[in-house]
Amino acid sequence: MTFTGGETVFTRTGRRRQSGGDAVPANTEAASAEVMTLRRGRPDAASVATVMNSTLRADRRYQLTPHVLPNGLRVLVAPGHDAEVVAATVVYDVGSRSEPRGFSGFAHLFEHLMFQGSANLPRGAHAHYVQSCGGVFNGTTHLDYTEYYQVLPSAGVEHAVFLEADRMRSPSLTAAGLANQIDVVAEEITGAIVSRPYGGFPWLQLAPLLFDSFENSHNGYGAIDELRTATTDQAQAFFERYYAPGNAILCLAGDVSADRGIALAERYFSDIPARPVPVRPVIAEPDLTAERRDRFVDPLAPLPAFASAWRVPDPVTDLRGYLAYLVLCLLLTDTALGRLTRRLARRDRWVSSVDCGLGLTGEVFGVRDPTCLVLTAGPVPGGPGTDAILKAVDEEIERLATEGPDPAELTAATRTISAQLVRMLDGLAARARLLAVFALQHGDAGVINELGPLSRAVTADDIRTAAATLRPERRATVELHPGAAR
Amino acid sequence: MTPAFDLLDVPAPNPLRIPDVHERTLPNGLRTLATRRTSTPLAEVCLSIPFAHADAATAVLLAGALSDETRTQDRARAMGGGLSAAVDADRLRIAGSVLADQLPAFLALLEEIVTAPAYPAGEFAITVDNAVQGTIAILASPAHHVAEALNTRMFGDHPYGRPSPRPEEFRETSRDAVLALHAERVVPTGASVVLAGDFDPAAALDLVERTLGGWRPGPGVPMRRPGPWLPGKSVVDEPGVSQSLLRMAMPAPRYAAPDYPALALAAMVFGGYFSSRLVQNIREDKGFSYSPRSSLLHVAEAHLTTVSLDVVTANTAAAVEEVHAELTGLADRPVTPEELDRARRYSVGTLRLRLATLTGLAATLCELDLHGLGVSWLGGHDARLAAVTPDEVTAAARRYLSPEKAVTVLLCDEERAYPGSFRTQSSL
Repeated sequence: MTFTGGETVFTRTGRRRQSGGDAVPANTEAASAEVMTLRRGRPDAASVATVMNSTLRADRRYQLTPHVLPNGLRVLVAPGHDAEVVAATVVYDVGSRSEPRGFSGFAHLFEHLMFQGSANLPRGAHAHYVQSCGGVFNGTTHLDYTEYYQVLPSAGVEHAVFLEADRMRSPSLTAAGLANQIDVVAEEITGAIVSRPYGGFPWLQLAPLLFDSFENSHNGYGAIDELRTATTDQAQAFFERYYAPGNAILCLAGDVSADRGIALAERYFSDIPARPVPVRPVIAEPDLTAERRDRFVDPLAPLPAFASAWRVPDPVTDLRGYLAYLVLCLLLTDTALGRLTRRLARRDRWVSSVDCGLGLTGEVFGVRDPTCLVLTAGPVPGGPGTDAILKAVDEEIERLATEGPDPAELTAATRTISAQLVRMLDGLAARARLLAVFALQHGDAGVINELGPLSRAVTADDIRTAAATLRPERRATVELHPGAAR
Repeated sequence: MTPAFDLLDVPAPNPLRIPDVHERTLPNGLRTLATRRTSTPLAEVCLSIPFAHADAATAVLLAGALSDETRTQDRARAMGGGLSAAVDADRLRIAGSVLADQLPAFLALLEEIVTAPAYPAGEFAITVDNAVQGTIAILASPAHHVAEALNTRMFGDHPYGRPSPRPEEFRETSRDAVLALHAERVVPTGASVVLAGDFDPAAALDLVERTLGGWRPGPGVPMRRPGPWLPGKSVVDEPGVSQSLLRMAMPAPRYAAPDYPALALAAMVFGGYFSSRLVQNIREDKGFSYSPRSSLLHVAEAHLTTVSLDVVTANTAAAVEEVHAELTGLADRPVTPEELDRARRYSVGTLRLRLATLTGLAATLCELDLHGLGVSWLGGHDARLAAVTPDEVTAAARRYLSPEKAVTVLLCDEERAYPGSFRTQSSL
């Protein structure tokens, strides 16, 4: 029940945090510690050879059984019996970038409504049953999809499948539930954006600078006043249109066999009538041809920050090209390897932090084109400032574009990505979500097994080519001025 | 239309598979625990060193300098891994995650860090500056203000009550002070190292003994006990904030106490999960707050039930009343068998979820060891919860969850949250 960028390989907080001496953190926020990375496309012969010759144990392959129901629901079972735990995840092909004009924040609000009861379940019953099975659940709204998951002891898998089917069939979209969840979402927005220093930065400021269309540029949280005008008719229409079985994928991952997973899906989802699958909005738009700059005041922020974004290749049609940018991010700003970190944060001390990552919301996998690489920096007060820092960034990128990375540097970066990947995929919620999202966006969940090998196959030439595209005229930069500077 | 299914027939999980943990205490005092998990080709390592009563600013800089050091990070990255160090009032923790094949190299790196630290002079100024900038950033956060106010209110001048070191304290701390603290306190005495991952655990223990066996012991410094618990309420007035932050804490028993299972279940029913009374009332019924919650917090010498709630100014007074009503309600409206059953099932199930990932397994073993509990504690977990009766839950709630026992801090814009003098009449 959150708006989220999913997993992040690189922190995008804009500030290093340290919590020394904080013996008793009264606010025990359950931080999701998932790390993530990205990669896809058919490995070419050379990269496969590289991988096969390597003795490095750095991957785990998942067995996948796909299946399609007559109503169009795609089913994917990924058995893994390391623990007696299973994830049941449904991903719908609708996100905040699917929202039409005038409906900012509706995808996220609707995600909340999916927890308000359904044909056979009163309000609150979803949580009761999942938690009675000893499991956890949540829903998350993203730019390009919406996810619902349960992770629970495997004895409860049938309950999870029943619950997801019941709300895909007919959620209760009542005025009382809507009014209550508008209040809850308003609280969520207040806590995450309005009353938090750096809340929503840089996503909410960069999106309208880097992009022009409503779909790509609007605030996916929406405005509280606008959300208050939402009606149950609108919710019903949104459900009819976007929550068709043919617009969704059910993934069961973990301690369940392929046969049982498919049998459960057939048993509980088959009777949901097929409906037309909505055509996805065209969200492609041209690249920037001239640099864009903007600035704003964050009244709560104590220190300055800025963020720059450049468009990157289409993750679906050019996964190999896209992955080179993921490696490039590590080469630029990894805490250990990053050239910008070493020069700007450590040697010259022009910034207190500098981070690169893919995706406006920090989501590396699970975004469609158009998407971007984001660089965030915290200029040291009294230092040379944004323009000088950007000039140094340009110089380091230029150096990578002409000379390429050192072999040891590249190996360390790609190994690190491999390790982060297997670590992230060890978690069932992340594994099930990514499998479903790859099936949805790439048409092949098997991409998950190629990410490690393909990221280690990124070459120095790939890095040079990627770096050469990060030109100032393709860049959008927004500066955050600290309203609470002392 | 809907296929028949008996939702009420909620299945119980299978018996817990207890991780097979190999243990050894080295002659220098280092406790070593290793367990195998083959789900992913990684090794997680967590070294935990007692740091009670170390100077807070110096300790933060020590941890920062260890994680920042360029040469260390280069070596960890070459193993596809990372190394981090963090400190709280009780412990210094040095943790790493590497490809499992690289475990010997990682332990060698760890040995160098603890026995022959470099703390390069050229990098120390950066560590200080990072600490200063990081502190400026967290000091802007209302959540941090309220956490500090609560800690101080609970523990006074005990290390648990101390606010985070301020920028000037970092600037006044020298590299020599960090070196001296390292020499005195980064010792195997009372320390433990947990290893989990895709390796042979017996061989891993041998490897640890070979690598860290020569690390020289030092003095043990126990954490002093906090003073007496003084319940009470206070307000941190921050004019202009749009959200009020309520934080409460009540003393709880230790993990090993006989009435701990009953209290854990009482806290779960109260506010520990989505189906709890607090969440159902405050979020799902009233819409006051996105994530009201209650949790149990254990540090070496303090054991607490905490309550946390963020709410817009206009709803503050009403939400505070509801929290109060739900706490007293645990005694007035005793926990029903259904509520107890659901809380128990949730606790039983989520333990399995926690142990299902490598990182969760490693973190759980570290936490248990910190509190002197062996892996056998996990084996008894389900049975201890199964034995608890509704009456015992109510008794535990009366004893541990009464608002009169709480230290309560509310950060808010007091004029707007409590116009006039209504606060004097409120439960806060």
